[in-house]
This record gives sequence, structure tokens and C-alpha cells, in this order.
Amino acid sequence: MLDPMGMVEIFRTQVGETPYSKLNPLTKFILFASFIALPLISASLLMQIFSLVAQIPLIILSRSERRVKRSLKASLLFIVILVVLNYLTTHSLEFSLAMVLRLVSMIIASAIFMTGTSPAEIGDLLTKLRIPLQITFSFVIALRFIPVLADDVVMIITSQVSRGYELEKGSFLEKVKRLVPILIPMIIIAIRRGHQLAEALETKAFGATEKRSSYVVYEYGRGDWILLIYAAIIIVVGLMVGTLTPQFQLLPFRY
Amino acid sequence: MLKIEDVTFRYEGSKRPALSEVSLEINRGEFLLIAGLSGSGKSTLLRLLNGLIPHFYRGEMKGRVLVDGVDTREASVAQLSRKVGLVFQNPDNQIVTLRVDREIAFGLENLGLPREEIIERIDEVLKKLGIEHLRKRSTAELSGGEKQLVAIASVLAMRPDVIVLDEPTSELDPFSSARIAKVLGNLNREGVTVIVAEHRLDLFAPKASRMIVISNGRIVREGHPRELLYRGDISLHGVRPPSVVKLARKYGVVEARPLAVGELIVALRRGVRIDRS
Ligand SMILES: Nc1ncnc2c1ncn2[C@@H]1O[C@H](COP(=O)(O)OP(=O)(O)OP(=O)(O)O)[C@@H](O)[C@H]1O
Ligand SMILES: [Mg+2]
Repeated sequence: MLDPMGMVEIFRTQVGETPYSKLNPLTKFILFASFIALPLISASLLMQIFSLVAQIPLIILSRSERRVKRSLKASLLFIVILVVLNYLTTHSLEFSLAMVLRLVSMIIASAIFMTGTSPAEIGDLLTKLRIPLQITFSFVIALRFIPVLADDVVMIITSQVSRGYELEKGSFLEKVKRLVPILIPMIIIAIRRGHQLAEALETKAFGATEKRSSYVVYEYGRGDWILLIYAAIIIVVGLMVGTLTPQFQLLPFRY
Repeated sequence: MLKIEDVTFRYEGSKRPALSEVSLEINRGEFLLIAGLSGSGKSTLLRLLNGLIPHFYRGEMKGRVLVDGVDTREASVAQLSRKVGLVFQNPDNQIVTLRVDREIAFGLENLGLPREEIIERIDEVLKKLGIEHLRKRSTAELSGGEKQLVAIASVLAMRPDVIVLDEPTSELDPFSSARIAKVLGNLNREGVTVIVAEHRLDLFAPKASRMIVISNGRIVREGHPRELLYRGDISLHGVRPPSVVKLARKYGVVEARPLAVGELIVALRRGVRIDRS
């Protein structure tokens, strides 16, 4: 019944290109920000239903219908529990439903953005948002070295285990102590890698000129304009929906 | 074009100099092979050539290094990188981006080259190394040999006059190592000066036009690999001649001085023919 892998199915990385993934990263980011902001405009159930429905075109463009469906199905029990718990504390079914739908809608928005945008694009996006090169570059380097360092950890663990080292034995404190022979070589390896990386960056003239040029450029296609206009319309309509319906108190506790 | 003049270098914190009174001149178009035991000073010598020593490594340096007549002390590593490109031993630690074409573009972006030129150079080096199919691949998914080829490509794209490689095959399988050796041979034939520190003499000696042996921070032997590897005294410095040399000795075809397996076969055939007549 509870299927955690199914619940995170929606975040599984997309394989291949979709109309959504080909959009300008800035467009994707603006859409993402809009759909995070939309359910926050008001707490009404109508608002939450509207922000879910408004995401349908994006779900289709990112070809994630099946993933969304599977993930929702797997999370159904979880959603029901959340609604019930919410109802027990707030005594308002409508409010409880609205809060859970708000959560679902934000999860879908982040999932579409995260699975349809490559790490490199996120790095470029940060650059475009005028974040200093040192920070965006650190972000890309971190992503680049995660698989490398993960391999190192596996290598260290296997080589320690093959010497008769037991990782999983003893009390919690002992287990923590047992991590030391893994951590120390790990730190040494990471420092050495970092040093060699710095050497490589130096020989590739990193930071040598003020005016670094850019190989990757993103253009704005027709799809980008259409979706940006769509985002604007959604926000305007959302603001109208927000004023139309009676406001709920965010936490209507009764004393 | 590269000139090391009586250089002694000691790393900060170590007692013994890593290099002692080294002098070496490297000319355009050469393929120089550097051999020597682990810790003999090969990497230190290579670091002198693009200014990592003295700019990046602290220590005490005597003598001077000239790149096209410019003292490396007077130029930055970035300036020198346009003349001398350095490829390191471990490809994982020198790849800094997430996609192959971006990796090759990286150094060129740092130099501030216009986008059209960057694209042109990416096309050129991918073709030169025969790895066009890797262009859009993620750098994390490449094999060790492919990573090293990409690392070489990213350095070549900066169009240095000299490409310097520090044990480029030590992390690679024999097949990929042979491919790297072949690529370097081709580049050298196209006019790029190649300097490589290597243990795999069997692969690199047949391509080299000159060879030096380093021991304890000093250049102890210098000459054509054919000459050095058949001299017999080379193993005194911990350099083991490739098996082709041993086989040539065993079958008595030393006069032909074969270095590659093909040359050995030719020499043996000739030997057989002489026996028959
Ligand atoms: N960063 C450093 N700091 C201090 N000493 C160093 C440093 N790098 C190298 N050395 C020392 O300098 C000497 C020469 O080292 P070098 O790395 O040049 O040798 P190598 O011939 O490249 O060896 P290998 O084949 O293992 O790569 C060694 O004694 C080494 O311990
Ligand atoms: Mg070395």
C-alpha cells in the first residue's frame, strides 16, 4: 500500500528531450516561480484547484502525465492521512483539502522544473540571474564531483571491508566511531582532488580575464513567449480568483 | 623554443631539492619522452614548463625557464597556457564541466574568445582526435580513456605550441593507452611539439624523437630512444626497457634496434632470410 519509490516517481530524471526541456531555462524558472506563487495567493479551495488545473499544459509539455499519475496514485494513502490529520486540528474539510492540494500542486511544479532542467542549465540560470561566477562555478563543480567522490567512498568501503573491517556492527556510538576509517581517507582524497583541480583550472586560464566569453547561448523561441504570456495570464487570473472568494484564516484554531 | 637553464627547485617544506641543476632545450616539432622512477622529478620538470612552478607551487627556485624567450617568472600561468598546454595524470581531476563540448569550450571562454571561434575550435579538435560522437555526452558517463581524450582535446583547443602530458595513461587500460599514444603520434606528425612523462615505454618510445631519463632530480641520460634503450645501462636508473627490446636481444636482432612490435617482426623476418641463404 505504501510505496515510497512510487511517491517520488515524479522526481525521476527525465530521459530524452521534451518540448518543455527545450525551453529557455529562464522561461522554465519563471514558470516554476509562478506556479509556486499561485497557490500561495489565497488559501481557498478554488484557488488550489485552479493552480492544479493551470499546470496541466506544463505536465503535457514535459511529458510527465504518467509519472504524475503514478506518483499521485502511490501517494493517495499519504494524502488521505494528511487531510484527516488536518481536519482533526482545523475541523474544516474544505480548508484541509485546500492545504493538501496546495502541497501537491507545489510538488508538481518543482518536479516539472527539476526533471526538465539539466544541472548545467541551472548553473547557466544562476549566471543569468547575476550570481557571481565563483558561486555558480562552485555549484557546477559540486555536481561534477558528486559521482567521482561517490565512487571514492565505495572504493574506500570495499577496500576496508576486504581487510576484515566491519561497518555495521555494535551500538550507535560504535557505528559512528567505525565511520572514522572511512572518513579520513575520504578527506585526504578530496583534498588531493581539490589541489589537482586547482592546478588544472590554473592551466586553463580560469579567472585570467575580466570579460569571460560564453559558449552556450539560449535563445527565446516562440514556445518561450507563449509560455511567458501564459504565466502572466495565470498570475492575473489567480489574483482575481484570490479576491473573488472569501478568505480563509491560515490557521483557524479554536480555543 | 623551451629552455630550462640550470634549474634547481626545492618544494617548500622538503629538505631535498626535487630537481637539481637541470638544463634542457626543447625544439619545435620534437616528441620528447621523459622516463624515470616514481619520485624522480618528472612531474616537477613538467610543472616548470608552464609556470605552475614557481607561480602555483611554493619553494626555492634557482636558474630560469624560457618559453619563446620569455622568462616564466615574468609571465602568468594563464599567459603561458596559450603556448604550453598541460594535461594531467588523472582525467577526473581536470574535467570541470558537465558536458564534453562545454569542457572544450571552458578554457576558450576563460580566454574571452568570441563564440564563433569557440565553436570552430571545438569542431576542429573533436575531429582531430576522432571523438566527434562524444560532443554532447555528459562528462560523467565517459570511460577513463574517453575522459583523457577529452582532457587532451580541451588543452589542444587552446592551440598551444607545445602539449605536455604527465603520465596520461597511468589510469587507463592497455587499449585506451595505445589509443592515446597513437593520437599523440598523429599530433606530432602534424607539427605539434609533444612532451610526455610515461612509464609505458613500449607504447611511447616508438613515437619519440628524443628521450631523457631522470633519476633523483637529475637528467642522467639523453638521446634517441633507439640508442638509449639498447644501451643496457639504462636499467641502473630503474627504467625497464620494453619487451620488444628484450625479445630483440633474445633473438639476436639487436643491430636493427626495433622498438615497435612491427619493427621486431620485420627484423626477425630479415634475420630468417639471411639464415636461409
Ligand atoms: N607538492 C609537493 N610538495 C612537496 N614535495 C613534493 C611535491 N610534489 C612532489 N614532491 C617531491 O618531489 C620529488 C619529485 O616528485 P615528482 O612528483 O616530480 O616525481 P615524479 O617523477 O613525477 O613521480 P611519479 O612517477 O610518482 O609521478 C619527490 O621526492 C616528491 O616527494
Ligand atoms: Mg608525477
